[in-house]
Amino acid sequence: MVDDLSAILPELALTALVLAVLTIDLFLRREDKWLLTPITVIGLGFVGYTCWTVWGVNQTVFAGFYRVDDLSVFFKVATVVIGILAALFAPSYLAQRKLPLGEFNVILLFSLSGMFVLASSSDLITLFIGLELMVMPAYLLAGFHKTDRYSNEGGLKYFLLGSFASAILLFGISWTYGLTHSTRLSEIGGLLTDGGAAGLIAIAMLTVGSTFKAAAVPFHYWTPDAYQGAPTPLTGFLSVGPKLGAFALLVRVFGDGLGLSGADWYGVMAVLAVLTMTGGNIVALAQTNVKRMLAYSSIAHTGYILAGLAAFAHATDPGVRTQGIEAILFYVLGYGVMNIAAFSVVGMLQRDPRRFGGLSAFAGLAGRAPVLAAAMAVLLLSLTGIPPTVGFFAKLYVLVATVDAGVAWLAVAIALNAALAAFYYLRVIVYMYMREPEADPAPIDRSPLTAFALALSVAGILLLGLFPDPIISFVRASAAGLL
Amino acid sequence: MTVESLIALIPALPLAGFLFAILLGARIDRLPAHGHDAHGAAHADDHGSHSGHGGESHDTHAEVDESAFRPIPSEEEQRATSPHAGHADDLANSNGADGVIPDDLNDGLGQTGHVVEGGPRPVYRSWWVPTALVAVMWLFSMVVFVNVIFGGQTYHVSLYEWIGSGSFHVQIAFLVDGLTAMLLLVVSTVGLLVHVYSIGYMDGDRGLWRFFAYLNLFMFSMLLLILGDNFLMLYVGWEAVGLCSYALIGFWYKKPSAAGAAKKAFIVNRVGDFGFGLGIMMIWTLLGTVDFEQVFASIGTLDPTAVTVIALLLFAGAVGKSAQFPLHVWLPDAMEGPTPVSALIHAATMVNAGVYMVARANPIFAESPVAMWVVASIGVFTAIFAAAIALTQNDIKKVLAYSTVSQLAYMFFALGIGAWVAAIFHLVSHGFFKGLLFMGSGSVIHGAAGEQDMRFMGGLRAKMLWTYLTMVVGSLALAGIPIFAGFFSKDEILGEAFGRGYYLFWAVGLLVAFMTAFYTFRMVYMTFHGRWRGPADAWQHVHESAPTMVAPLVILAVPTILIGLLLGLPPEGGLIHGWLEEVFRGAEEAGAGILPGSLAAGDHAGFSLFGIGGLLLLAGAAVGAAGILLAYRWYVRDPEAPARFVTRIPLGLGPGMYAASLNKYYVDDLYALVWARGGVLLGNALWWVDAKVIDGAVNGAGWVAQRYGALLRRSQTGHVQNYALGMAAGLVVVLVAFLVFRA
Repeated sequence: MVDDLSAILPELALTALVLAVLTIDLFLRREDKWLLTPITVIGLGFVGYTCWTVWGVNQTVFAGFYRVDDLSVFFKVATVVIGILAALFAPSYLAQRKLPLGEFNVILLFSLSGMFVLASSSDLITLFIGLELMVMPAYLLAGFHKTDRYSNEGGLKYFLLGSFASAILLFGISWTYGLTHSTRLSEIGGLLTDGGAAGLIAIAMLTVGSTFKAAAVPFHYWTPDAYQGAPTPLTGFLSVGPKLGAFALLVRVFGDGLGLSGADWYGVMAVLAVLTMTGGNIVALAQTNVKRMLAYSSIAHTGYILAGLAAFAHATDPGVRTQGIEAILFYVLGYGVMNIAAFSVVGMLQRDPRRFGGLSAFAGLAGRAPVLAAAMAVLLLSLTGIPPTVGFFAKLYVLVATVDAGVAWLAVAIALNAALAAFYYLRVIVYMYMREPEADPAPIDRSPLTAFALALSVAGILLLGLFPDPIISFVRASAAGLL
Repeated sequence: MTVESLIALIPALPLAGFLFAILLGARIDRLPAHGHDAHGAAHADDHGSHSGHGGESHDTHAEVDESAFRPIPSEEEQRATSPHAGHADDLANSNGADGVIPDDLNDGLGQTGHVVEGGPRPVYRSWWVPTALVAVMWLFSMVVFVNVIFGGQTYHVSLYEWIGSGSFHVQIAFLVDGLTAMLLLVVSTVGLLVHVYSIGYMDGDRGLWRFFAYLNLFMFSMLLLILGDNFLMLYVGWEAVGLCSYALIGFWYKKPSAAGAAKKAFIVNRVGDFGFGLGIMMIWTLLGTVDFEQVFASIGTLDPTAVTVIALLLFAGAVGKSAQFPLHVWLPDAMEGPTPVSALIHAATMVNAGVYMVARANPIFAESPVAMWVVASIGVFTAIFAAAIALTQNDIKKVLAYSTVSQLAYMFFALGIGAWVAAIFHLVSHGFFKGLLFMGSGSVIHGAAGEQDMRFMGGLRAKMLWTYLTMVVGSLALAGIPIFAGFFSKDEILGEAFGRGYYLFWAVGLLVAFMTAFYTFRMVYMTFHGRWRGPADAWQHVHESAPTMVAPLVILAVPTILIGLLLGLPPEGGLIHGWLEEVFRGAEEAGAGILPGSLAAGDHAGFSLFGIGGLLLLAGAAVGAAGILLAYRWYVRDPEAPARFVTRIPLGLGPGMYAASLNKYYVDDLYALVWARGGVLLGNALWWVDAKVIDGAVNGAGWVAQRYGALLRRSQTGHVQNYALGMAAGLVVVLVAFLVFRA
C-alpha cells in the first residue's frame, strides 16, 4: 500500500512540468525559446520514469475516485511516448509559421495530464474531468494557427461537436447515476444490466459519448475538418493523443464498468467497428490529399481497435477476454507512433506554407530525399500492416483476439479492410518511387530535430516489428491488471 | 569477444553492408569522378537536388562513358563476319550476359566496363564499404571455423524468441557444427573473393551500388540459411537467396533475356519451394516444432509413410534450388546474370543449399529408404543427363552451368546412397574449383570483348596467361585428375557407391566422370588453344583482366590444389570424416542408403590402397585422363574429328543425337509447350472468367464503394449543424440498436 500522494506521483510530476514550462516561457528571450523543447522532452522523460514507481501498486486511492493499476501505467507510458514525439515533431513546423512554441508545449502538456487522469479514473466523475482536461487543449491545438481560417474553422467545429458529445456523455452519466445511485465504475455494471430499457439507454449514451472521442463512424464528422485545419504535426498529435485517451475511456467504462454485461453491448460495438473501418477506408480511397487521406485512415484504425473491444465483449474465457484488451493496448501504442510520424512527414513537405501536402508533393520523393522516402515507406507499410513492422503485429493481435473470441466474421471484415487500405497507402509509395517529381517540387523541411524524431519513430516501428516480445509482455502484464 | 558473439555478427555484417549500399551507395556513386573522399562527400551532398529516381540519374561523366562503349563490335556484326554464321540459331542461345548490349539498351545498366583508353570514365566507389564488411565477416568466419573444426566445439547461439504465439515458438538462433562450418568456409571465402573480383568486373557499371547491395543481401541470406538452427530460419534464408538470385540474374533488367531468365529462375524455384514449404508445415503439424534438434529427436516416432512424404517434400525444394532434373532448366538460363553472380550464387553457394538441406535433415532422410532411393536416382540421372548436354554447348558459361548441374547431381547421388561425408566433401571442393572456373570464364569474357561463344575464341593463353593457368588448375580439379581437389571428392563418392554395392550407379558415375573430363578440356582447348577465331580487329582488344580479378583466381587456385590433399587423405578416412562424424552419426548407424540388394553395412570393407579401393582410384584417374586425351585429339590435333564421329554413329542417329544434346534434350521446349503455352491457354480461359465474372464483381464492388464514398463525402458538408444532426441521428440509431439487440 502506498499513500494517495505517492500513488499519483506521475500526475504530480506532469503538473509540475506544465507549470515549469509555463513559467520558464515567460522569462526566455525570443531567440532562446527553443530551450522549451528540450525542457519539455526531458521533463516528459522524467515523468515517464515516475510512472514506473507506481508499477505494480494496483490500488484505488482518494476514496475510490482514482485507481492506480498497471493498466493505467501502460496508458501513461504510451501518453508520454506520444507526447515526446509530438514535442519533437512540432517545433520546426511552428517556427516556419511563426507560431509560439511555449504555448504549444503548455497546451500539449495540459492535454497529456488529462489523459493521465482519464487513464486512472475509477469513477465516472473523475473520468469526465479527465476527458474534458484532455480535449479542451486539443480544441486549442486544432485551432492553433490563429491567422489561418481553416485552422480556426477546424478548431471551432471540433469544439462545438466535442461539446455536443460531452453533453451526451454527461447525460449518459446522469442516467447511470439515476438508475444505480452510484458513479463508481466497479458498481454500475451489474446495476445497469438489471435496469431494463432505461439501463440500455444509459449505456447507449455512454457509447456515443465515448466513441465520438475515438472518431467512430457515424460520430466522426469532426475528424476530417479538424485534422485538416490543424497545423500538420499537431494533427499528428490530435489523431493519436485524444484517441489514446478515448480508448482509455472506453476500456475503463466498458472493460472496468460494463465488462460483465458484455453481451449487451457487444453487438453495437461490433457493428460500430465494421462501420468505422469500412467508412474510413472507403472515403480515404477517394482522397488525393495525403493529409486528408491520413485523417480518414485514422478513422479506419479506430474501427480496428474497436474490434478488439468487441472481441473482449464477446469472449467468455477470461484469457481470451484480456486478449481483446491487450490487442487494444498494443494497437493504440503502435498506431500512435506510426501515425504521428506519418503526419509529420506530410508536414515536412509543407515547408512552403502554401503547399497542402497533396499526393503530387510525394512524386519522385525517392530521388529527392531517399532517406525521407524510405522512412515514409516504412511508416506506410506499417500502417498497412506489413511485417516486419509494428503495424503488422498490431493487426495480427486484433485478428487473433477476434478469432479466439469466436467473432471470426469481424476478423474477415478487418482483413478485407486492410486490403482496401493497402491501396491508398501503397499509392503514396508508388508516387514516391515510380513517379517523376513535379516541375516545381515542394521544398523539404530538413530540420535535424524533426529528422531525429522521425528516425526515432521509424527505428521504434522496425525494432518493435522485429522484437515485439518486450512490448507484448508489457501489454500482457498491464491488461492483467484489469481483471 | 566470444565466439558466440562473432557468430551473431557474421550475418549482421553483410546486412549492414546491404543497408549502407542501398541507402548511400547511389549517392557515393553520383559524386564527381575526381572528387574528394567518398565518405565525407557523401554527407556534404546531403542537400543536393537530384532529379530522377534511384541511381539512374544522369551526370555528365556517365554520358561520356556511354560513347566509350561504342567501338566494340556488336553481336550482329560479329555474326555477319564469322565463318560460322550458319549457326545463328545456336548463337541465339549464347546471347551473352556479358555480351555487348545494343546501344539503345545501354543506359549504363547493361555493360561491364570495357572502356577504350583515354576517354574520361566514371569512377564508382560504392563497393568499398560492402567489401570491407564482407572481409571482416570472412575473418570472423575463419575464427569460428577454426574453433568448431579444431576445437571440436558445437555452438548454439540463441539471440531471441522471434515468434512466440501459442504453441508455435521459433527462436532466432544459430547452430554451428561441423557441417555448418564447412559451408561457412565455402560461402565466406568464395563470397569475399567474388566481392573483390566484382570490383574489377563491374567497374564502370552505373548500377554498381545496386550490385553490391544485392551481393551483400545475398551473403546475409545465405549465412542465415546455413546458420539457422530451425527449419523456419532455413526457409527464410532459402527464400531470400532465391530473391537475391532473381534480382542478380535480372541485374541488367533492361535486357529482355536477362529479365526473362530472372523470372524463369524465380518461377521454377517456386515449384520446388512450394513442396519445401509444405514439408516444413507438415513437420510442424505432426511434431509441433521446427527446431532441428527437436525434430530430429522425435522424427522416429512418426509413421514411416509420413516421414517419407516429409522427406520427399523437402527434397522437392532441393530439386528446385539445386537445379536437379526436372527443375534444372533455370540454372543455365541464370547465366544471363553478371559472371561474378554466376560464380557466387549459381556455382559455389546458393545451389548448394539443396545439398546442405538434405544433409542437415539426414535424420529424416535416414528414416525413409524410399526417399533415399529417390534422391540417389534423381542424382544419378541428372548427373549423366546434364553432362550429356554440356558436351555440345558452345557458350562457355553454359558448359560450366550444365557442369554445375551435373556435379550437384553427384552430391545428391552421394547423399542418396548414404555417403554423407563424401557429398559434403564434394560440395566443398566443388565450391572452390567451380567458383574458380566461373570467375576464370568471366575473366575470359571480360578480356575478349564480351564474347561468350567458344567457337569465336581460341589462342587466348597467349594474352591471358594467369587466367589460363588458373583455369587449367580448376579444370584439372573438375576433370578429377589426381592431387587436385575434385579427384579426391569425386572418387570418394564413386568408391562409396562401389563399396555399398551400387554397381550400376558406380558405372554411370564413372561414365559421367569421363564425360566431365572431356567437356571441361573441350572448353579449355577451344578457349585457350589453337588460333583466334573471332573478328581480327577484336583480337587487338583482348587483354588480361585487372588485378582485382586475377588475384581471386590465383587465391582460389590454392584450395583447388590443396584441399583434396589436406582433407581427403587417406580416401574414405580423411580429416573431413572426423569433422563431420558427429553430424551424420545417427544416419550412419541407421544404415541409411543400404537398400535391399546392396551390401549390408557390415560388409563395407573400407578403403585399402592395394585392394579394390586402389583399383577404383586408378579407374577414376584413368577415365579423367582419357577424357582429357580425347578432348585434346578432337579439339587440338584434329578439329575435324568430332564431325566425323557424329556421322559414324550407327543407324544415322549421330546428327539427331547431336542436335538433341545441343538443344538440351528439348526439356525447355517441352516446358514451353506444356507450361508456357498451356499456361497461356489456361490463362486466356481464366482471363475470360476474370474479365467477365471476377472483374465484374470487383468493378461492381468498386463502383458501389465509390458511390458509397461519394455519398459519404457528400455527408461531409462542412456545416456544423449537419454534423450535429448526423450525430444525433447516430445516437438514435445506437439507442434503437441496443434495444433491438437486447430483445
